[in-house]
Amino acid sequence: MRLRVSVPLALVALLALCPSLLAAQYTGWGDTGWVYASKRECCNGAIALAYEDSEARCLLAGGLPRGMSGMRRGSCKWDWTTDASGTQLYRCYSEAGIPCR
Amino acid sequence: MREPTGPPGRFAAAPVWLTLLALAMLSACLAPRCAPDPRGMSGFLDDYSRLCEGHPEQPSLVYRNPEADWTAYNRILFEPVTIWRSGKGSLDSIAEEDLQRLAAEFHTAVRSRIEGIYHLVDEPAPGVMRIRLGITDARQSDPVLDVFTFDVPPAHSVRGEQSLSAGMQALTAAAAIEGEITDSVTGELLAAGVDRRRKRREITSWEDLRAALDRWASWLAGRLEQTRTGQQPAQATER
Repeated sequence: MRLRVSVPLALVALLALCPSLLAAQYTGWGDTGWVYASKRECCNGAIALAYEDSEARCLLAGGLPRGMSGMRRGSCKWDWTTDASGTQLYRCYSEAGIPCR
Repeated sequence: MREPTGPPGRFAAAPVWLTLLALAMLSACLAPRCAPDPRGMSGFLDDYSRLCEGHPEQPSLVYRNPEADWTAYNRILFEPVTIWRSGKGSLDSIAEEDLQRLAAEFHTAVRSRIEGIYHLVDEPAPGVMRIRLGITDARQSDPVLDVFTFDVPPAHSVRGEQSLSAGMQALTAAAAIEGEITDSVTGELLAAGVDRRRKRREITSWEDLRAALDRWASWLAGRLEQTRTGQQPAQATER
C-alpha cells in the first residue's frame, strides 16, 4: 500500500522538479511567398510565420506554447528574382519551433 | 663648356609618362574600393553597393549619406540585435543562453553608450533614427542561414565572467558587425557599415567579449556625437 502511494508521488515530484520532462517542441513552417522586401525583412517574416505555425501545432496537441518573449530563433532559406522593372523580390522559407508544455 | 643634353624626342618624354603612369597607379591603389562583391556579404543590410573600404579608424566597409541632415535627429529607435550564421542548424552548437547573452551584452553596450547622447524611443517618428545591428557570419551565396533575434528586456541581467564555449569562440572569431542607420519614417539610408575585426585580439572569455563590444559601442557613440555636433568626441573611441 505504501509503495502504491509513493510511486505516483515520486512521479509528480519528479515532473515538478524537472518541468523540461514535459516539454515538447512542434516544428512550424513559414513561407512568405514573393515579397518586395529586403532579405532581412523576408527572413524575419518567414520565421514569424514558422513561430505561429509551431504555436498552432502545440495548441492542437493540447499543450501551451512557452516561447520566451522577444526571442526568435529559426532557419531561413530564400529564393530571389527580379520583376519586369528590375526590382528584386525575395521568397523565404523558415523552420522554427517553440517549447510546448 | 656646353651642358650635356639628353636624347631628344620620345626618350626625353619617357620619364614624364612613367611618372604620370606611376601616379595614376598609385592613386588607383590609394582610392577606396567600393561596391564589394555581394556574394561575399551576408545580406543583412539592404544595400551593399554603396559601401566603400573604410579608413583604419572606420569600419571595414562604410557608407555615409552626404545629403543626410544629422542635426534633424534627436532620438533613436534601436532594434533588437540579430545574429545570422550560414547553414541550417549552424547556431545549434551554441547554447541558447549564450546566444541570449551575446545579444544582451551587445545591446546593453550600445544602449548604454548612445542613451547619453540621444533619447531612445520605441516608435518611428520624425526626428527618429532607426539603428539596426547584426552579428553576422554568413554569405549571400549560402542558401540557408540560422537566425537568432533577442529583444532584450530592460531589466535583463547577464551572468558573471566565465570562459567562452568553443562554439562561441568560433562565432566571435569569424563574425562581423553589420549595421545601418535609417530615417525611421522615410527609410532613407543615412549610414551603413560592415566591420570585420582587423586586429585579431583573441577573445576567450565573456570579459574579453564584453570589452570588445563596449569598445565598438563607444566608437559608434563617438561617431554619432560627432555627426550631431560636428565636434570630435571627448573620449577616446578606438575600436
